[in-house]
Amino acid sequence: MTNAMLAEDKRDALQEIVNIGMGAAGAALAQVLGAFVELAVPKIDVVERRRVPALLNTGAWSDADLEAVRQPFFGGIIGESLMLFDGAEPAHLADLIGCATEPTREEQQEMLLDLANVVIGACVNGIANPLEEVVSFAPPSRLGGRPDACAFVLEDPGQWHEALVINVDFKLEERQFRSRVLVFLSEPSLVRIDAAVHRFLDGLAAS
Amino acid sequence: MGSPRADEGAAAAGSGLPPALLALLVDRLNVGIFTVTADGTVLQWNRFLHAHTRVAPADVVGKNLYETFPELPREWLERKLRSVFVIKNFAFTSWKQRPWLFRFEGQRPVSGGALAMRQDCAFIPLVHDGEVRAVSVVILDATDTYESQTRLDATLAMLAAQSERDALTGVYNRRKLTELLDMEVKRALRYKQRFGLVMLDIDHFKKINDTHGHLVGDEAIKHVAQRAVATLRTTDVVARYGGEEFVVFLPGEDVTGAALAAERLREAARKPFKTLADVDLTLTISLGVTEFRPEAADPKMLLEEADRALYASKEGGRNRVSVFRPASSPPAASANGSTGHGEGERIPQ
Repeated sequence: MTNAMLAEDKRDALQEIVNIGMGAAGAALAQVLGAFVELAVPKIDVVERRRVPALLNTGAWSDADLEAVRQPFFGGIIGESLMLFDGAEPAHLADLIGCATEPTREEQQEMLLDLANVVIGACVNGIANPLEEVVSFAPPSRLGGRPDACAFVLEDPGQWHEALVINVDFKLEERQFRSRVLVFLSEPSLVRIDAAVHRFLDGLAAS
Repeated sequence: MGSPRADEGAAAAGSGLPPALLALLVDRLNVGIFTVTADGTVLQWNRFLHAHTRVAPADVVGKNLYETFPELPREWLERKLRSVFVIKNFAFTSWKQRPWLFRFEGQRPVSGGALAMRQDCAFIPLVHDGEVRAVSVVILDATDTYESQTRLDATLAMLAAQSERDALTGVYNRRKLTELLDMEVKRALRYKQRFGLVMLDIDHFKKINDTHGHLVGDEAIKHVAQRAVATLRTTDVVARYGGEEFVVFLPGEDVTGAALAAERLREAARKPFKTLADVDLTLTISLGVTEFRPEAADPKMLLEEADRALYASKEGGRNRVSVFRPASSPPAASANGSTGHGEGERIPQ
């Protein structure tokens, strides 16, 4: 069933949809965070489970301070998002979330969870909305550093073999903050996305 | 980002329940639900919240949320709600970071005492015609999760503490000593600091066991551990290394300081102590001292050096402190081995 996803025209269309969605996501994020958000062009790929650790490798980022937050979503499309944060001290983000004083550990965690929720929500809705799918979200939760993040995607190998992964790197301008969002869309929702992309293309052709 | 399909008004209408029953369902759900507009006006307040806040819907609906509940963290909550209105997306809070939104005490009058309800909250945007008309806040009671997690954390902390302590004496065990010593060597190298290391054991321990029995032997071991903990600084690390053998390291001390501490410990250990059978018992200990040097930055080597100095104390007649002298030391203290300090004669008190 993933072969259909790889059909070039649909894949290009999905890339276009995601690009537009991310543009809207960036604008909404900037409004909420009061900082310009620099989003890289999303990379869309069908990824096998064993290739996932490579996606978690953020290259120049510090391994030691890597934080990860995960958030499942369900409804029209089903999947799970993982947001990796650069080791930039969350304290740098205190003012973004409206914390006037030096944040406590709990406040820092809350900030990261909030930020992940906002970014992941914007990304996932950026994909779901143009496809006219409604998505609900489970609460975000913290994973540890990279090894734990790997374990999360690799545990229980019975669950999946391949997923559509949308990979977006982003930065906040004038801040030492970098992040990577990985949106994993599970195999069952690929069929729906395929159909939704089909409808989207038909709609374009009709107008 | 809004789209016609991302519209939850249609979904609610499709439930098949007449609106009156739907309203009743929301009211009777055993989770807290309230709904606010962008300017903070409360549109709906269910029975769960009525019961726990003792504020009736009639006293809050149509009014400003923050004026009715001035204790709410207004700045934070407004920001949170604003993000839901702008992004048109769910938001969440967990009791792990923020124990509660509304403080509800005495939920468990029998078993829970004054424990306040831990709450997980979900902020749900109500989208109609592409716009967020209001946000519903759902408050879930997470007190059970909180209690289990707290018990689990306490158990894990206890297990962690037990796994690093010697059961008989309560001082660190050999495994933890190895870990701490590795860390201390790294720290000393990085910050160019020093530390002293002492190995000691109880003299003629076999005789104590043979004469008084193994239970008294255990008491002798506990006595030495207690004397070591009482005599040394809290920053010094005391560990049971083997049967009647202990290792102590003293951050910040050179070999002279460590030898002084060892001497104090030797004096303290030979003071009589009472066994459980109310017998006064006296024992002595022998000690070997060395110090960390950048060229001896190997924990095994340090232990080996202290062991050799300890052996010299045994050879020299026991109940004494010996200091390891590296081969490269000045001639005055050249003997590669140790110098006996029987009864503290060469070490000032």
